[in-house]
Amino acid sequence: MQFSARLTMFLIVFTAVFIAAPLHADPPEGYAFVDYEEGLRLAAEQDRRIFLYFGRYGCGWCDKTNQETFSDAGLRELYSRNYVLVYVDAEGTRRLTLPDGERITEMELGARLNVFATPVFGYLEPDGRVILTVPGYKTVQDFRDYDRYVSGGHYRQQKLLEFLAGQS
Amino acid sequence: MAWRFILALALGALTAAQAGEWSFDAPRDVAGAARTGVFTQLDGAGRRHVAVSGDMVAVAWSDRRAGSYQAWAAFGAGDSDFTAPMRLSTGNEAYAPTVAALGDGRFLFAWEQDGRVWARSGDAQALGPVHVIDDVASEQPSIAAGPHGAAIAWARREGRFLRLYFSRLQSGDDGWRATDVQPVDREPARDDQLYPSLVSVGDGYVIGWEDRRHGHTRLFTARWQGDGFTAPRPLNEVPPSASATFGRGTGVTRVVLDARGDRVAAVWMDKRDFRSGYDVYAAVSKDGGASFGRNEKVQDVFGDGAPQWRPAVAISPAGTVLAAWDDNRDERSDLWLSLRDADGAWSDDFSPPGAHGAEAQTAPAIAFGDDGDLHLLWVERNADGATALRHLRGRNP
Repeated sequence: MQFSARLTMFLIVFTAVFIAAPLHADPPEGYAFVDYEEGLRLAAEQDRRIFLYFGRYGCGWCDKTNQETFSDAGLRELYSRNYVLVYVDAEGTRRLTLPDGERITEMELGARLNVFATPVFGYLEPDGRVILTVPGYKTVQDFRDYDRYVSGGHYRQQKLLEFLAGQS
Repeated sequence: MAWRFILALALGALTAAQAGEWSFDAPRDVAGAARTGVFTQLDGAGRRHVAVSGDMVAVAWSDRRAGSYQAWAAFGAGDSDFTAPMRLSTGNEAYAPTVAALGDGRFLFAWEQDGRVWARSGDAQALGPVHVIDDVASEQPSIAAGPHGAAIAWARREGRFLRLYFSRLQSGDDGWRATDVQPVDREPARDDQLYPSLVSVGDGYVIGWEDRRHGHTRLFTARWQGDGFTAPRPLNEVPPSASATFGRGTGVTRVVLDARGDRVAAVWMDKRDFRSGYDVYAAVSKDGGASFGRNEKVQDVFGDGAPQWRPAVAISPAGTVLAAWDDNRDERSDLWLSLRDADGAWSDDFSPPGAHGAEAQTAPAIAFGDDGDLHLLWVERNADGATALRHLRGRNP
């Protein structure tokens, strides 16, 4: 193969691998996110809380959170240990089953939880009851604070802002 | 009719031709009073859950009254009660039914059943034979009927992606069959094509859908011209990205079309102004869907602070475009309507009687009859989760 042909091939491969890499928002790499139904099943089986990530295809703030926050190895270890990780496409058409038996689309779940922006992060009891939802881009420290609030059971006595104010 | 509301829409922004005085019949339950565990749903592609043929109204929905989710239809003429629910589906589970008027009091229905798309016709007396339209993994049907006959579009699973298909439909002794199945876009799908909305126009059909080929969701339209669809044309305007690094789109979803003659109206949920979530945006075509005008924000300033959900659209015989949706601007889910004038201005939002109040009013579907009467269908859900299907008829003298 001549040099020019090899260069062309290299550029094609480089472009395919790096330039055309998908920038859309999906669950961050390295995390064992599952769908909503599987997450509820696992949470009940393992008596663990749920960390619920409402993302959207093409969502810039989700992408930023994935790249800048969820890339932190310590955060990945913390959340993988403490939660069943569930990802929901806030505009998705896939149907899921709620604890009461109703079957609705992913988007309908978002509408009912008023997921008007993405990302939205939710912390749920093992039976699916919502403890807390927080919208928008978050840092590693934000997620560590939320984890202390939820895993420590502080939500039973304090509002999130009260808890955070007491930590500072 | 036991009673009748008069809703005065003497709002400054409305012209007399737009608003006048609408009168609304009392809302009525289509399929019984609210019940828990039934989970009434109106979530079909294109939100075409109500259709009108002469004096007959047909509605289609899904619920779990039979112990599993099934698709249902009911028919109502004039002020009389709706018929008892007639079960459209015949399998284990069914969702997302849709309805189109065939004329002479007859209607065509399509729905998802056990992962396939099915169809049958019917009237207030009986339903016709049921037939599978696409016997591979398929979902999200949308049907249209007009001078060129009936047609259907749906999403078929092809490997990792859903790809939209279209076919005209022909009636035979054993039901309605797809005659010429073809992809809407001849290019193989590079990502999901979702949630089609098919309408009949003067010289064919127009389809709108969600498309993820560009790394974020875009809305496209195309026109069927006898031997296939035109190349997809973008419908939603994409604002300049705030970031060259992260993400690609601001979020658009659930496009819905309606058509009358050569006029086509589209509405969808759009998050270009992301601070308050989705807004309802619209665009109107005057040339049978060959081109659409600029994107127009539908809801008024009072609705701007709340996200809008589940928009629907209908065009009256006089050519007036009406949009409907639900939002929680009053800290509860109510239905809201807005009318578009000839200059493209949208009226102040208004909520018909019975479509707001203590219970959650959600998921509107709308259609105009040839007499100009509006038919509004929606789901009412109370705090216990009990749901009922509600119908309201409006008249604009």
